[in-house]
Amino acid sequence: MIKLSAARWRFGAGAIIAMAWMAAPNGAAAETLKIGGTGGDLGTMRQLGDAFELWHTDVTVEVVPSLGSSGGIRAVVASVIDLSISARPLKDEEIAAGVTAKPYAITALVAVTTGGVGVSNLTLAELAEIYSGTRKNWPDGSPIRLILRDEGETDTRLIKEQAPELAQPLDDASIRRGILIGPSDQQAADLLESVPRSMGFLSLSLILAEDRPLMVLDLDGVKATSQTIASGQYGLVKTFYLVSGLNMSPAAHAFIDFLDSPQAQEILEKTGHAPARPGA
Amino acid sequence: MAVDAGYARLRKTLTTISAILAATIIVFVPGFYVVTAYQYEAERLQFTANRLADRVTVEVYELPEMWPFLENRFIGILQRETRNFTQPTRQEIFQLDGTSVAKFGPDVLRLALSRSADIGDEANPAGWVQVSLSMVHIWGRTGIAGLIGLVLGLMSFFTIRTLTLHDLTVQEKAAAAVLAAKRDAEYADRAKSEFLANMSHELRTPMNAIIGFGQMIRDQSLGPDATDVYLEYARDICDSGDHLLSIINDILDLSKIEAGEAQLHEQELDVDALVEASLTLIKSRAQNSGLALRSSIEVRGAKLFADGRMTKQMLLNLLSNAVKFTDPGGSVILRVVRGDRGGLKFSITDTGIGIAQDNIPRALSTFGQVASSMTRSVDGTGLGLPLVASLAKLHGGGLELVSDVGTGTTATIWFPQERVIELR
Repeated sequence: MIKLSAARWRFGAGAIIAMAWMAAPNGAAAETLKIGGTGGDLGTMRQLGDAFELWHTDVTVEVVPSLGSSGGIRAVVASVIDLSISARPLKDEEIAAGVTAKPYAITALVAVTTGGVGVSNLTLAELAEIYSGTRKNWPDGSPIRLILRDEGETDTRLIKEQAPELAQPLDDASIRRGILIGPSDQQAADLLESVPRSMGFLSLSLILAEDRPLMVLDLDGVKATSQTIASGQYGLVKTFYLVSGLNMSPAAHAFIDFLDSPQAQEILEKTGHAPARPGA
Repeated sequence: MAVDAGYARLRKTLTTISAILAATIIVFVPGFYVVTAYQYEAERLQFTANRLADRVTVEVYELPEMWPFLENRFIGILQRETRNFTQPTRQEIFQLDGTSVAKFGPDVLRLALSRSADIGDEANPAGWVQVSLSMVHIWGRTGIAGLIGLVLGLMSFFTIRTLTLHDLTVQEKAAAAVLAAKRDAEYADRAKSEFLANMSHELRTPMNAIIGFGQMIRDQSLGPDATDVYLEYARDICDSGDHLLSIINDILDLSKIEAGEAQLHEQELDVDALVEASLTLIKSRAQNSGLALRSSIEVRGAKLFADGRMTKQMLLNLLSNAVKFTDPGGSVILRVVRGDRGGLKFSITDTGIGIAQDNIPRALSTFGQVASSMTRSVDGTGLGLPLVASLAKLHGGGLELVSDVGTGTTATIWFPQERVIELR
């Protein structure tokens, strides 16, 4: 994939929007493109959908609430939705069911807080202490309220894979009483917003795309940005795939193609993504 | 008899009540546990099912058409709920058509108890959540409760039965003792009546002789010259008077002893001399009856600390009894032997008619008399043996009778060791 500079993205996007505006036919949209899947990139999809609708005025993009990666793939197989976002590659049985997945971006898995806890950076070692329960308080003495995801959930699995030193502490935390669980990405984000002095992991894309009022912490002194993700400086990342079924509608085809457009790439960059690595 | 039957019935009733109580405990303890445990677990499962259904309902309302695809998310929810159970549990979410959406836990649960709750609003449920729990642990604990119940039941059975029956036994014994005392009192009363009847006869006989012979002498019924006959009558009068006196003495002695007024005038008695004097006194009567009278003293030169008159009276009573109840040609032997633990024994053995073993206790009791046919064939008030027994008892010793019908009798007086001064 050709890497575009931010300036060229912006230029391209402006031109495309203008063209789309002019080319838009009058009347209601004739086709609805339903997109679902993991909550980590639903906000981004909404922004991309809005941009796509400007370009394809006969198509209405509907982003359904979080189904999770697996739920989204099942919904595609069942032809209930057209496209689904997955945070993991397809499993054999899913491939056998006739769906295909295309990686379209990488985002960071970031530790976030409600802010005001006197911390802007955490090392993996400190995170291990927090999750294992040996470190219970923020520097100001207030208790750390951990918000977890389910054990089998993709984000948890990815963190364990990429930072093995957090695997056991995460397991320890999962069986401790008093720790809240966010069943979906959005529910986890809601909990992190509503519980004072809470901390948990979220997708950077979710925070930026949904404009969540959460404070993203640096990891081992590295700030999570499109650049640090792309360069590999930021260590905890997840790849998003766009999953499509056997009988894709023209709108779905068009949307997949649209993701490669400079306009879409600009949106992806703004919402904390880096281009997907080849062969991901 | 009626009392025994009453107690037997009461005993049976108490045993039955104890058994019913024990059976109730044996059944109640595990029964109460299993019912309570089932109720508790059922409520817990229902609560869990309701909570899970509420949780799933949130997703159903948010994604009315797509919620069945949220298997992973639901599994996470179910998995967390599983941590609230220590026993194997299975939780499953179903769509309305019965299709499983998500499940967690083993496929097969032994002795499972299940509860379910509808997902969505009551009017339009979208499916249901079913929570199952293996009840193997409850049945295992019920087994333990059963054992505890069994132990408690048996303990209560035996405790109640033992306590009540013990009380009953005490009461029964007391009642039996009252009955025995009543019987004894009745016997004593009857014995006294018989004694009085005998006594009046015994007193009247010599009295009649005295009066009869006295009148004949006074009226010179056989003429003024029958001096020899009148002399014989006068002897008969004297003999009858002596006999009357001895009866009265026996009665007085016995009465004194029974009233606790008898006093021992103890002195050192030479056993050899005592035996000799006693034999001398009875010798002529033995000879007249055609009996052989012998003595055998094992411990020569022994000295006894006792009342001389009473001791002689005891020996004479027994010797005269032996002579009295032994047919001509028989023998009477007086033996002096060492007693138990340093004591001394005087045994008088005859070859007489003997006493039936069953009658021995009666022969020894005060006012007791053995078969009237026997007592009537010979002189006597039946006071001899009781009197000897009482006198021996006054000395701290006793009287023992060994006898059977036709084999003769051995009457033994024994003195305790402290009354024997010298025994070589």
